[in-house]
Amino acid sequence: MEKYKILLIEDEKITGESVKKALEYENMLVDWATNGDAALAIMEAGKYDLIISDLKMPNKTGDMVIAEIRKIDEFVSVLVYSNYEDEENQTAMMKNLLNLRISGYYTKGGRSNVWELVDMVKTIVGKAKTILEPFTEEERENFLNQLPSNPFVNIND
Amino acid sequence: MELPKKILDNLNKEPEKIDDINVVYKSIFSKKKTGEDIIKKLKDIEKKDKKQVVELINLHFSKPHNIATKIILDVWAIAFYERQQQYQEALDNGVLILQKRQEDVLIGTIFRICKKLNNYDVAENIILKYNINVKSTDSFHILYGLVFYYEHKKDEKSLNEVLLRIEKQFKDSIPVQNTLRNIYIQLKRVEDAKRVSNNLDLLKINDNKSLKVNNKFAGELTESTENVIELAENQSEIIQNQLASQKQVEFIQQMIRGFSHEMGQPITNIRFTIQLYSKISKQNFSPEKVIEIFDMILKETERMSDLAEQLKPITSSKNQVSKYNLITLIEQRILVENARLSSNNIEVIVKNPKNIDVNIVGDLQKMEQVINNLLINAIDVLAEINETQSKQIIVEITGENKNFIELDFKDTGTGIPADIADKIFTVYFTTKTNKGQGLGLFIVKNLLQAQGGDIQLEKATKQGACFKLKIPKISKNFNTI
Repeated sequence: MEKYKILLIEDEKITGESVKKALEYENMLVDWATNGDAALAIMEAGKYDLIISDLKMPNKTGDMVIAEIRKIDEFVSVLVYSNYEDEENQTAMMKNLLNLRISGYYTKGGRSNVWELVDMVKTIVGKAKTILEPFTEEERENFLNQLPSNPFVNIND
Repeated sequence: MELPKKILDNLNKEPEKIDDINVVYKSIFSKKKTGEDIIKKLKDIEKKDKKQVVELINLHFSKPHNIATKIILDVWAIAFYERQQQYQEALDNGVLILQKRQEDVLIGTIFRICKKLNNYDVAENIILKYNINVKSTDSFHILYGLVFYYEHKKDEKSLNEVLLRIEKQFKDSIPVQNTLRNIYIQLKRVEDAKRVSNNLDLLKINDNKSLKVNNKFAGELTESTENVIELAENQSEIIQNQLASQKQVEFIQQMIRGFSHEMGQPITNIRFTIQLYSKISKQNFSPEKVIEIFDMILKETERMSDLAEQLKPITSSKNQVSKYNLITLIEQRILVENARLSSNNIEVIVKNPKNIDVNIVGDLQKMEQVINNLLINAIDVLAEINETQSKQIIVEITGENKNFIELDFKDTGTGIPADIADKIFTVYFTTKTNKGQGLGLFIVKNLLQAQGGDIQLEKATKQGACFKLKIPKISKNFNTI
């Protein structure tokens, strides 16, 4: 089975290390960028199965980076994880993130667990794969076998 | 030789002040003159010699037959006493005038003086004698006076009646509604103040129209406006304090929000690391790895305690105002950071080329924090640049005016890109990784503003960053933050 490719955007050294190692433990390939510009430099359309990004980072914030990423790859799944505390702007931020079509949001901080984050990554990437990937040979045969033998016979009656 | 003799006589005579005053009095307070004319003259004298005006109106009120013959003059004179803080004269003569003529403006003034003295005895007599209550009067001046009388008496019910009465009866008057809003703010009745504010916004839109409607009361309107403006000015200090405390609450909220966000970083670091290794290293946990993780956890706890340190402007409730020398303070802060400065080869230059007096009255602790945060930021920036480049921090007193000392805080670091310049003073902003000092400049700005000063980033700098500080010579407000 082909390994999932993940782009991790995280400026905190220790958090980034832990997330990278945890994802690699689950058999994924991880590129780790410590800021938005570094991420955009290595980003290519179709290169990654999922982008994980923090929101608060030096210079470019997460939402700014994701907006740029969307210009490069319209369809890549994005998971945002942060501990966003700005209550007043929270609704605006979440709307903004929804419009950027992110697939999930994970809260960092006092109740966070790196393995929950990994599970969320697996769910999102797994779903994306079932929707986008074509049938295998075997699946196609099975599917065709289930259809009635002459489905279009009476179509003009 | 008639003339020289007269002059000689005058020269020999001891000039008596009473005589002089009587002469002036007679020339000004003549029966033929109108009250307005006399007031005009008195205002001219007031500009040169306030004491003489006091003497003149003392003289005026000392003659019982004068009282209440020119009511405009009398009302002005009582207000003048009030301005000179001669409250007893104002009350005594005010009561005498009222015995002859019940003048609303005067009653209002007497109430106002009672409020200043925090003693409503005189007002209480007037209320009883003239049977004054919410329903008995249409006068704004009296109603306004009653607001503070009932507040003083803690008579909630009557207080509400008066306030509602004012709100309804003068619903089209902008100055009255302005005053009413100020009263509500002073009474800390935020909801009521908001309602009146909304009404005011509507009134201001229709301003021109309502002036036309009220045209026939133009005289009264101007008079009441003048009076209300005066009243509103009395309130403005209180409102400013209210706004300052609102700002203080906002500052605290933002600080704590920023703080809990920053705390999330070390917490996440510790949790993720422990969660990771407790799963992947179940069997083979090397002692080296354990030590490495312990070290990390200790470092992260230091980071948390540094963060807690940044909350000092909130947690230290002391507002110690003292006189201090700004340059001495800066030099002491530099001394504290000496180890980091010399290990990074950073040179600090403190300059005062114009020899400006840098003695300041203000909160020493807060200014220490301002300088400290700027210094630490500059060191962090300079520590990361190439060893061959010049590493300087320049603190320069550049100018002053009546109220402020101007100070430039410069470094020769990488500078701040123009596209983020407007964000650097907000609570979530940081340029540094793994430092958790995102609160630094936000705190600096708030500490300076709370004392009446400010800080700005100079936009066009070729090298490094330059912050321009305005530091008040005497702190505006000692009790905020």
